[in-house]
Amino acid sequence: MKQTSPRSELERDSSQSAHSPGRERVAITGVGMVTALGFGARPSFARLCAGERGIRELEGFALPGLRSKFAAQVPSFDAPESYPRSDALAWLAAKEALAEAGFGVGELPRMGLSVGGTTGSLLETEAELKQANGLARAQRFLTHPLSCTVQSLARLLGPFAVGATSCSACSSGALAIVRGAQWVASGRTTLALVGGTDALCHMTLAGFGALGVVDPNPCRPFDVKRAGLSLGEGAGFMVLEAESNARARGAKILGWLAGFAVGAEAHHVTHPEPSGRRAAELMLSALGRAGFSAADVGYINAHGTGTQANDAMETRALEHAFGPELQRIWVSSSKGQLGHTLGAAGAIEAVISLLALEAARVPPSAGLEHAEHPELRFVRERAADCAPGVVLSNSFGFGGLDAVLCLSSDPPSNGIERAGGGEWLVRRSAWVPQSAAPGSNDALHAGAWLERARVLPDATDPFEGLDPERSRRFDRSAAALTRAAEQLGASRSAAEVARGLESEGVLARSGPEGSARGVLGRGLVVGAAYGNVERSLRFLDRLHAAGPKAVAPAEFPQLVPSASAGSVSTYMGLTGPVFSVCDGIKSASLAVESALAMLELGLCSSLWCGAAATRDAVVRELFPSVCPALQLAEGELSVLVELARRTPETEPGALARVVGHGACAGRHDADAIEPWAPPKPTWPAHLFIADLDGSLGELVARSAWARVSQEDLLAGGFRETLGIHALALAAQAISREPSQALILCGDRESAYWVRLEPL
Amino acid sequence: MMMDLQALKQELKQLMIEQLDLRGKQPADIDDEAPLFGAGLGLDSLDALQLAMAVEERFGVSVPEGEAAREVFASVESLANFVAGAKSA
Repeated sequence: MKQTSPRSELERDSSQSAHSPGRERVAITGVGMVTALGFGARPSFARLCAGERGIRELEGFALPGLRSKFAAQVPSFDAPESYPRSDALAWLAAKEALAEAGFGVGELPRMGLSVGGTTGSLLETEAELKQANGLARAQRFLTHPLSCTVQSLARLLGPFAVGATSCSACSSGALAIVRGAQWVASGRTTLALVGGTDALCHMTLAGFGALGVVDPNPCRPFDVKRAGLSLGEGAGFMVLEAESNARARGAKILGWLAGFAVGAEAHHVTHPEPSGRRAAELMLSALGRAGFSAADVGYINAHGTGTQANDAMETRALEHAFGPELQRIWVSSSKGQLGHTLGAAGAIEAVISLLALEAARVPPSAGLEHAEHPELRFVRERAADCAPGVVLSNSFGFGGLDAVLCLSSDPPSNGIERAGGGEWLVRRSAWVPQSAAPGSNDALHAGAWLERARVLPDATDPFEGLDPERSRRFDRSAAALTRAAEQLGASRSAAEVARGLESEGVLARSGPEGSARGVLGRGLVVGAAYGNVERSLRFLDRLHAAGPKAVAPAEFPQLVPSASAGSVSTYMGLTGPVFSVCDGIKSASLAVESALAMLELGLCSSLWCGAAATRDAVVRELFPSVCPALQLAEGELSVLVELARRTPETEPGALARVVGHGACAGRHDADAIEPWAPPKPTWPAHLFIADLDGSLGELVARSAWARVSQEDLLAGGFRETLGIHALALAAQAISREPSQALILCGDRESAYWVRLEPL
Repeated sequence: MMMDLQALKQELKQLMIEQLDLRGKQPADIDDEAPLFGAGLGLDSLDALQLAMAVEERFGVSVPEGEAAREVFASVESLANFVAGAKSA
């Protein structure tokens, strides 16, 4: 069959730095939402505007001694059988968005799927933990990673061209929207289905309660008497579409994703950085990226959880960023009606922001009686009539992982600003290998077995050399990653970070110039298929045995899959985009992909990309039964690679440059005509391959890379670090001897490639 | 039941080291009267919650919240006095 033009375009494109010229604007052509206020985005929005509150007495959770008996639960519905609740919620919202955009299920054009979440199907895993004894009951932890929602939606609605799962704690939903927007803006896909989901579960009900941040009554964001948050559940999804595509097919454009900003506070695992400076900067950056200024904003949908700390910080941030404009800008938090929906929040609230633009109504801030800061223009009990024109939606997560989205009714003047044709360098790599330690193969009861695992002698201690005070709550992954990070750069304390932000004096700027000169902190992307399974198991065992009052408050924030990313970023003082990529066995490879995406979006100019394969005792014990094809290595490994935009400053000491990257055609790619053919190697070349099911090997065997020296990354057994390990090895190989390197990781469903050359 | 205050302080210090992950520290490193939060040992509010939970569980006493908690958790000394007082009540 003749090679058709889409394939040869891909090949040509790969010889540049994978940016297509021009700036594609990102339109929103469908929305869907399911929350405690019911089903259907627009009926729910109407109820939201009427001031209805979905926070009611909790049903169906036997947790005596919980701090609050209130939560915002989705009403009962017919879920597709045997799917976890979080996936069913996602399905409802996602199919609504697809239908509105005019796409039939199973007949989707080339579309990406980007999902944010925090607990995944933990609710169902919790139930299974109660069933039996022994470690086998914990197996579901491993068979149902956060990436399951993408798998479920692919089965129910797909196939999709590419799927990705992101976690940045309470800003995950917003982050997922940003990742999908990048695919559309870069031309990788013309469409992206993006959103977040989270179902209530025992862990979060008990955990937030143990932290003392839950209001015993329905929450009251921004109220002087506020006493904490109320938990909620739900899902929100949008269809993002390239403007040219939407116009060509005559789609109704509901609004625009005009801009966004993602960054970290580098302050504390649960407390926001009180001055609100980072948050203010992100709001201005999101606006500036879109070509708007403070004067254009009509409404801000706040993060507004109702906790003392968040609402105080957010108020300060709003004041820093908007000053006198706050007399005019409407502000509200939807969490007084929908609760805090965790991984779904950023996405649900983006949908609400879009609907506010569409309806020319801004929803109220329910639960607010006496504002602590009455100088802010809060929308009170009912919606206000207002055509806001430009809306900001804030999400601030644990670990200070923040995201701000900017939506508009009219097209923004710029496309999503991209770092226009820059080159990316692999600057340095660091790794912390640990030698093997004796393991235990006894299949004892989980509790006793974990105790024994803890007293096993460590060959090397990842905590050695770390500041004990600042690394106190770290698990082995966070410690190992921090050790690697310290090889790449000096850590900065919270005070130093704060001083840095102050001296950089960004806050006066807004508008297009502001975004170009805005402080771009260094980012961190961690490939982490799971959160800490051992700690999660321990937390849940205690909850089950002794009730909500007995769970460990300090443990809870460490359980979310973004915890190690947050920990490392706080220790090292990183303020760029910080998050975890949670795509099962491809997490590390897709971490590289999303790291390059963040650079291409101009959200940072340098970024560390890392993963750790550490000796989580439970994972080690269970993994062979879950994934018998893969051998787990003895010992541990953590790898971190620095990626940076090429400048005269970053060139010295750089190892290699990225000349192309992208996804290989796979089963999900509806446009695949033939398998992807790698561009021919011309120099001495090396191939670094992690072929998870043999299909990549077939591709390579038929290409000119068949004769190239290969390093099989699976042979090392450090499955958690595959793509990043490959990048580090390849860059080092090139720096030793000028050559070309191709990195290939994945399977026939999805695979990712990166090509490196010398500078 | 009269509690041996010295033994109680020792037990509390051990509990803190375990529960708060104070790696490398021994009970001898923790001064009876040194401030626990802010300066001194440098614990934060997350530690306070963790310690309160652990103390309640280990000693079967009910630890107050808010302002009253600050006094109780000011130092190992004040904590030990609180626990001893609560147990003998």
